[in-house]
Amino acid sequence: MRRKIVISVLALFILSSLGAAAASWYVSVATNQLQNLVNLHEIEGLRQNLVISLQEVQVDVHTTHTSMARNLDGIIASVRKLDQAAAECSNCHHRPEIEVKLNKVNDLLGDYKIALSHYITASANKQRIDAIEQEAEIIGHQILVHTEGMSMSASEKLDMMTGEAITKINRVRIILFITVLFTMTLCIVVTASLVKSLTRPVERLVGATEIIASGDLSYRIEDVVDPEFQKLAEHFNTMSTTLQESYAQLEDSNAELQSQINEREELQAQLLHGQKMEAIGTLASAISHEFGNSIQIIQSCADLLGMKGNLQGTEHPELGMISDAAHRAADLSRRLLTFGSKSETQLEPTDLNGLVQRVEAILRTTISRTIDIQSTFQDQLPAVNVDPSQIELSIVNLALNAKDAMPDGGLLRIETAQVDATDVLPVRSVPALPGAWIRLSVSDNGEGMDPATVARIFDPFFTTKGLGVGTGLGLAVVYDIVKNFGGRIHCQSTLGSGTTFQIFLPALPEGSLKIEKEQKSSKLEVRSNETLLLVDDEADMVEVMGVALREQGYIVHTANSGEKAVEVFEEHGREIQVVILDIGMPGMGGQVCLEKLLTLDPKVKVIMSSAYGSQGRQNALMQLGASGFLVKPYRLADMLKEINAVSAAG
Amino acid sequence: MQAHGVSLTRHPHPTDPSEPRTAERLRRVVSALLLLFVMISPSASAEEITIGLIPEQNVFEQMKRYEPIGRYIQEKTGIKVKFSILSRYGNIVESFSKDEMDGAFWGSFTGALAIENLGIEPLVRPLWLDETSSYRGYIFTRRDSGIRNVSDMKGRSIVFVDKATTAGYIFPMAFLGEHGVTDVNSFFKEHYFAGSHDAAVTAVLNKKVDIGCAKNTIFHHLIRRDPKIEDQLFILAHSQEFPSNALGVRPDLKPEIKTKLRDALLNMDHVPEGRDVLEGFEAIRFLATTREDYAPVFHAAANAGIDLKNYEYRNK
Repeated sequence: MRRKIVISVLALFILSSLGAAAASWYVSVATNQLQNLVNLHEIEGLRQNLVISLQEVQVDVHTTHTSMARNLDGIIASVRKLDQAAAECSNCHHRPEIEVKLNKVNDLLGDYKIALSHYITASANKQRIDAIEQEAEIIGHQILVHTEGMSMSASEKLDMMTGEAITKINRVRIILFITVLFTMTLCIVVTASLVKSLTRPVERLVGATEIIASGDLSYRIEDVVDPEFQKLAEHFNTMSTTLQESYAQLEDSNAELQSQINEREELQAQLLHGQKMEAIGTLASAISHEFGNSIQIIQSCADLLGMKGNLQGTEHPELGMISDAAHRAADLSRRLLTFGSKSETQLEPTDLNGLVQRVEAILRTTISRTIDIQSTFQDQLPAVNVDPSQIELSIVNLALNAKDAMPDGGLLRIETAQVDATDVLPVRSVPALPGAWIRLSVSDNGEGMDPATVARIFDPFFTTKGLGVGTGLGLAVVYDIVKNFGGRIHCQSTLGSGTTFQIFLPALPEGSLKIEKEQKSSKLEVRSNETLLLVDDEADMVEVMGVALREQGYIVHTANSGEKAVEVFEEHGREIQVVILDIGMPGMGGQVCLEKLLTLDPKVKVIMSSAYGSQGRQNALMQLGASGFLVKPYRLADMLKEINAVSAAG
Repeated sequence: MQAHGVSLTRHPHPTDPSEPRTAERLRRVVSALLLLFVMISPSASAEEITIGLIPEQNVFEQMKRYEPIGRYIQEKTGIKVKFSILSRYGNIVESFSKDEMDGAFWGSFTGALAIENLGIEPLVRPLWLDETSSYRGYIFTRRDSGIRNVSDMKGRSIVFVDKATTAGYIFPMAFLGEHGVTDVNSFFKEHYFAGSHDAAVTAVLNKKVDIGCAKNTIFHHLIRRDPKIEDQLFILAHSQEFPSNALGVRPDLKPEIKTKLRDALLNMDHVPEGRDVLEGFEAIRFLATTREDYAPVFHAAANAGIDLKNYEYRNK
């Protein structure tokens, strides 16, 4: 650009200078021409002076020797003027031919002076004087003729030079006009070119800036010819690249931040869900406890009625109905306990295929035959680290949910498969941890659900079933179980097409499965006439169970607290073979009471009883010295069976 | 002829100490202004003399030849010199008084006439480039005229210079008389007076006349300008030497002016500008000249039977 400006200005300067030089030259020529004209006019003036002087002298010639003759000094003065006029003519610069003519005039003038002097000074007869006079006159005439000739020649030359001068002046005018016009045109062209050269890069820069501003950070200014703008374009491109890189980094950071936000939201949702579940669990646990006791009384009363009246279920279906209702209530209680995590979780490597097969067998006996159950298992499926009973419960819950969705029958499919982490469906955009995963799918071709229902499907107490039909806890429990095992659950449903639940569980390395031990089966005998101590804070419970056990022939002591139980045992310890001790009591709890009793009699047989019947808890109490465990609500038969078993273990 | 005193302009400024002081002051102022006027007036204090010139040659050339000498005198002495040329040699004697001349460069014969009739006092004369301060008279003709002696002249035409010239008339008349010619009117077909020496030479050269008379200085001066003269003219006779034209002034001219003129001219060759003027005048220097230097003229006049006191010098 700089070079272009310099060249343009230089070109303008040179052109203007050439124009000015040409104009000056022509003006100089024209001026010289005019000067020549002036000189010619002056020369003509000189010639006229010469002629006038000559004519004055000629007058003297004619008057000499007459009475009108001037004195000689006057004549000499006239001749001197003539000399000066001739000298002025001669002093001018002349062309050679004019010089020759002037020399001729000067020669004639010399002769004229000689002749004149001769005529003035001569004294002779008239004839001689006339001859001398004539000689002078002739020379004077010759001078006049010569000067006239020169004058005419000069006049012609003057006319010619005037014509030439006018022609040259006109030419100068035209050249000046053309020069000015051409210079102005070039100025306009150069200015326009420079303006265009200056504005075009700026426009490109503005356009590029607008493109960048519109979000296209990959835009670059290319194909730049101008060196200055190329530098600017390079800086612009560098800026764009930096901006693009910064934007990419910002996007990465933003994605990472979004991921962290999603993860946090997930954690918050989990926490909220957990808190909600915990609150509900606590409530459910308390309800379950009370509920269990009530059911236990109902069940025990029903059993007692049956035993007292020796009534058969077929003859008194009401007893069966009471037992069924108690059984459903007991099932609900267990679910509540499971949901409240009050039941202990026993993690162990589990073969999911075997587990599903067992559940399938149960389902085939319990679910309507209008529903076809199909199972697909992947061979060599890696084990998963779960509590088998909870997974069984989860499958059952999902199967029951499917059954409810297919009131007119349908197809229930259960599938297992090993998948990669990438196949695990993300939960709230959070991907699964890398590694092998096991997918357990339970699907039906039932009614399906709308998205709004799917969104709330795992919420506790949310149910689409009618009042009293669904508890709204089944799927919430499943969700809770799966989450506890580090797994994920996903529900995909389409109205009218069916629903698929997919449970993803992390796979264990190969060889994690333990060889299942064969459980020993022992036959227990019911022993009557034994003394028992029944301890429970529920007075109705103690009363019903005491009546029932006494009906069976047992001598029964009762206590409604741990402290009372210890007192009773201290009083009748030697008679008491078995103590049935409730764990959850106010004051001294069941566990402390057990320890006291064992302190009093290390050989005492104590059957612990509680609505919280987790295996871990049972094991812990067994290690403390308990001999058995009854999970409330239990049937009277179960209790007798356990008492006999403990007694037999002796 | 009566001599005339030199007319000098003077401006006396008398004062009277008895006049009142105011008037005195005024007069002083006026006097100072007048003095200033007088001082700045070019002619107020300049002395001017008029020097006459005889038409020794072409009057225009003659004037041109003497003007540098006049300028030199004015430059050295402050005396303005005005030259006045005459159309006739002889006129100078009467014109000298009539035109109130203060001096003249006299020819030898006119000088003798002026000394004799006007009491003119000779001052200086030039020493020519050939180391002479005199001249001779020439009688000449064209080489192709066939004239070689006086007898050949009979019936031909002759041109004299002037009756008041030594070389142009006194000498030829004496020469002709010596050769038996007593009446020029009858001996020559025509005779007339050219008025100047160069006119006489030119007339013969141009075949306007057969025989001419002139002084040798002019004759040789013309030869330097026009070599044809030497080629085509033939000198029949020449005279003895006469003193050159000399500056002679009227006897009553102020002595200091005479002295200034004489000193300026005599010392002319001592200064470069003077030598330049002398070179243009074709002279080496000026020589002091007295009446005695005119003895040969007086002698020649006597030989020609001329009574200088009563000589009719007008051409007829």
